[in-house]
Amino acid sequence: MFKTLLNYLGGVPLDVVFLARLLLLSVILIGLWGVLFKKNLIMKIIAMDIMNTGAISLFVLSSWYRSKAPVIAEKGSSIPASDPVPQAVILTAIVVGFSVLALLVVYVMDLSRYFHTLDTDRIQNRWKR
Amino acid sequence: MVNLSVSILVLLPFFCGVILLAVKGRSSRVLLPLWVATSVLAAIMLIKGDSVHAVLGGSYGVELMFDPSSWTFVLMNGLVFIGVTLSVIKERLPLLSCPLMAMLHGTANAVFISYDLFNIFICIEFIGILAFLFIRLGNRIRQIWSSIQYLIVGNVGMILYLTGCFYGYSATGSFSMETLPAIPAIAIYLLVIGLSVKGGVFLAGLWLPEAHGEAESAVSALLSGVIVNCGIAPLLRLAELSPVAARVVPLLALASAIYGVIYAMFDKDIKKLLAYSTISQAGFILIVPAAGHLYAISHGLFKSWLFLAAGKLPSRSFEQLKKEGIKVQVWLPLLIGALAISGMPVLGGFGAKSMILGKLSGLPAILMYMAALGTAISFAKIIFLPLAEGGDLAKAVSFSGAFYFLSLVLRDVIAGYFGVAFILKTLFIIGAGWLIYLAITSRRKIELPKSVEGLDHILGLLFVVLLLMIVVFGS
Repeated sequence: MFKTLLNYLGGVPLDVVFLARLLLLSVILIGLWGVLFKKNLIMKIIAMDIMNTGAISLFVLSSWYRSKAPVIAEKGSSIPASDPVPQAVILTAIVVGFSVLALLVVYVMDLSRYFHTLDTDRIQNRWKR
Repeated sequence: MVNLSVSILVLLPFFCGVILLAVKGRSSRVLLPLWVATSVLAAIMLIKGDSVHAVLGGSYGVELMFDPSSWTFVLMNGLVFIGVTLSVIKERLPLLSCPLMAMLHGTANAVFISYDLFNIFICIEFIGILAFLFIRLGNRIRQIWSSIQYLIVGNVGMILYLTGCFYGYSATGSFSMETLPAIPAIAIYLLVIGLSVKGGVFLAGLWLPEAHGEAESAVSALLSGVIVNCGIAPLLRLAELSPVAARVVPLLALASAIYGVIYAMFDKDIKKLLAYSTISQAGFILIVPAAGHLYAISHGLFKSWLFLAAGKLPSRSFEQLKKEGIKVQVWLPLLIGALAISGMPVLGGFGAKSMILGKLSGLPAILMYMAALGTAISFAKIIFLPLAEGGDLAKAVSFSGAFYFLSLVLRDVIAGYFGVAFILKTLFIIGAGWLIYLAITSRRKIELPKSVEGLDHILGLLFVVLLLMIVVFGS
């Protein structure tokens, strides 16, 4: 009885993929919290990367929806395989995300040399006239 | 046709960019044929007027769409780059700028012609990196801060966009824009919010005044002319194809038009005024999705011209400019640009504005007329600047000025929308705007709160808008 209750909590069958999706959404939300409430620029950037990781992992997860097996089946075979498209496209997103991260870190370093602080409020207070 | 177009629009600029990077080219002159090729190709295709849907690389490949809307954006891209290049043609530019210009041109073209969500994501992320490098080109410390702020806000927006792509893909199994009507509402909201960050639309785009106001003028011209449109063009397609976005986008556009114009009216800094007016003009472009591209080309032209002219002023503060006056060679382009953006007939802004306003009715029409009035009021500040002694009228005539003027006039003549009623209406709006400026706003100093434009607030507002969309429109 407990199992059926768990399975149909709110009409949604609870399986591994669904749980993993919830988990990844919460990763995005944790990153979001960091981006919004951390005052340190480096922490903000790390939080942004956490968000990005969550979004990317969602894609990786979505390629599993039939099976985890890689697509190497022979022609006409009916063995379920994982979806190659999300995996293929997300590689590009990972690279782009990484390059943005690298660029940001370099220039934040540059900024800290001028200001000797990474606190966003203190930096922005500099140009309030 | 498709292969030729892709080579000219995307591959050739990239190739030139890489070559220039290798030889450390600093003269933008060599890139001029490239912009001309883009513009000529786009003009020919616009005259032919057919639309081609192509998929590169077989199934799940890169989907492209060549239709009048995308060609109009490509034409705008070419023309703005010609104008900017002509104005800096004699200068020795900073080291990275020429390769960046070539790559920006190619990527912007790629955004305008792509027809699948993921391809647009990659191109816009790349545009974000290029814009980041552009904003900090002057190497001033404030520019570095604005560029970092821009990249953080833009990247968070693009992560939301990516999540939207994911929901779209898991619902339909494809990234093509053709599947947009079938994807869930929450995915559309995420896509819209991601694109509106790049497009400088209300609340999500509040990074714009800081970045556009602080960058070098030639860079601001490119930012307002081209980069903002890289967010707006996909947003227009989204609004055309998806019924959910068709309800959301006009509302955002209205808010954007009103907000931008209110801040533009009271700003004391000429470059900030232009930046705020970009937010409001983004609203004008998005309010009627089917005709947005026609407005975008006019806006790209006159806004980049205004930024280039404002860059030649001795000071940015209106108070000082009022005291000292400006020389005629700077005054003339500023005057024509300001008249064009207010919607004066035969100057480019008129045909576009009457086309947009003629398609609206009811409350949105009233609000947009108010926004047009606000534009006239805020640009009266530029129009009524006093002339200083010692200017030289002959210097006012330059290649870039002549180019911008001719393309704006041509733009209005081709649009042809010269109903007497519209001309009278526009002249009335402009006249009323000037009267209000002379009677009220030029005498009062009103400080509007600007604390919303801090980094944390912009990021927070992004999610406020997202939540509002979900609450108001439901899933």
